[in-house]
Amino acid sequence: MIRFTVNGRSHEVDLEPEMPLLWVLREELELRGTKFGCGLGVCGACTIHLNGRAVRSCVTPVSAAEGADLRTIEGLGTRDEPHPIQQAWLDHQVPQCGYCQVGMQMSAAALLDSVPNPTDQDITDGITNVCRCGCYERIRSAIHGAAASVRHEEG
Amino acid sequence: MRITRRGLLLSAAAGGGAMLMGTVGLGMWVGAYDRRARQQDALGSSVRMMTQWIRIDDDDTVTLLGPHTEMGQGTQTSLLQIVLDELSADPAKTRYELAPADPAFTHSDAIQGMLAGEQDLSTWSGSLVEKLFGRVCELGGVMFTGGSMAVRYTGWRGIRRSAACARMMLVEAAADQLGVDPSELTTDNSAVVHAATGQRIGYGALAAAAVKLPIPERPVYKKPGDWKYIATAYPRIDIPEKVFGEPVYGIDTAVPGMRYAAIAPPPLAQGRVTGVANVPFPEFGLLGGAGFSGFAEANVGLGRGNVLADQFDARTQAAQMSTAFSVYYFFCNVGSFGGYQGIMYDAKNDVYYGASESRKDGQAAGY
Repeated sequence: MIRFTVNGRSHEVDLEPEMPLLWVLREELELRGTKFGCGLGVCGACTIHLNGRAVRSCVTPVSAAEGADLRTIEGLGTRDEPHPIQQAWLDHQVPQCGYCQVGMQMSAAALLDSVPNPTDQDITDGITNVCRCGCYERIRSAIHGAAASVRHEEG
Repeated sequence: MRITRRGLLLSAAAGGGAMLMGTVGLGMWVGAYDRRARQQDALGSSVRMMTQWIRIDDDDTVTLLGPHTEMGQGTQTSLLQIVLDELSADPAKTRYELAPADPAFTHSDAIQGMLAGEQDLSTWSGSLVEKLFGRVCELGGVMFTGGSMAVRYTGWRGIRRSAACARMMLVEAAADQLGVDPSELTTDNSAVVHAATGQRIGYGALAAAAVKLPIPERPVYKKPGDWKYIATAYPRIDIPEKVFGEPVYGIDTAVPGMRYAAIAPPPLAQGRVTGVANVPFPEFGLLGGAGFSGFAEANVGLGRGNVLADQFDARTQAAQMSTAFSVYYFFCNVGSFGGYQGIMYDAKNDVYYGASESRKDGQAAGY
């Protein structure tokens, strides 16, 4: 038995320990907001938070989640109470096809948690996700926008 | 058989008559085509199609049943912007819905656009050409999104026309109801307005009467100066759901009892994988063992086969097997002589075996 919480809900699963976390989330827990991209931990479409840290869930075995707090896009924010990153994504009209954007937002939210006022270089270094539509410039300006709105709220 | 003068004349007359009747029959068949009615029939009596593509409910809700998917370029938003302007629709009560995969929603406007460009065929042909294209597109099942044709043709030719016609019908229905001339009426935010008396009737209240009116053959379009939505950076309607992880992509589709397959492509061009059962895999044991549920040929593309598996470990093995090219049978097209030849390929030792000797350079023996 492997125990962990996802978006604040406790789960207990009896699965092969090497099963990728992405499969557990999408198929066992039916949280399909998180996407499968490359399956190699490269593209970042499957990014989730594991104890607040952004991880590629397609290469993270479920055994690594024992006792962990996981967060997926379903727990990032809601339409009524969007996460600052989601609000910035709306304001800056970031997504095109949208497939990678869930992982992109999870990476960006984790980046803001560790670097509240990222520079362009911080964003380049911190966001290694791939967007096939090429929305990078809007992603960059949205991250700056989200950081500014958090500063404004805290200020 | 001898050809006589009389026989020739008689058969020519008979043939000409048959052609004439055929032409008349074809013309009637085309002329009877009614796109709005076809879409209404496809959706059933619980909804009301005002014109082609455009549904108006009693509660003022306008639904654009657009035949185009959204890949993120803003296609659906742009089509909606056209409706907002030409129909004077309230954006808060107007939505885009993907049309059902039904012949009544095929793209005659896109095909007309491909052939006629920006020219409006209805100005010289009445609606007969539109009807002909409608018939032909239904027969061909033409439904696609691409070629920069959604906004340019379906939108600018078809949906704009339908929206303008719907607006004229609603104005006429309001004129009947108020006993005034249509020229005294304007439209604003899903309502017809009579400025002289300050009366305002919502589209929902007019729709039942308006839908009984004939669809105008010569729609009057708004002038570019009166546009409020077209040619503006209108917020994309598909973005909110994408930001909250809600869209259902192909990979998110789940059906009861779904199984997972890995593609096992044959190593030779045009080979067809026809079976892997009962072939010993040293690494994985026997296919058909626990977790493997079968094999199915994917009938698209060149030489593809699928290995189906249920359990996680079997899925992993199936995926590995499909790329490792262990040992499996496949059939290879032997070229211009036609036919297929059974071949077995052992990837580990890179050896081909066949009914007769096979060559490693991609050509089966005997060719």
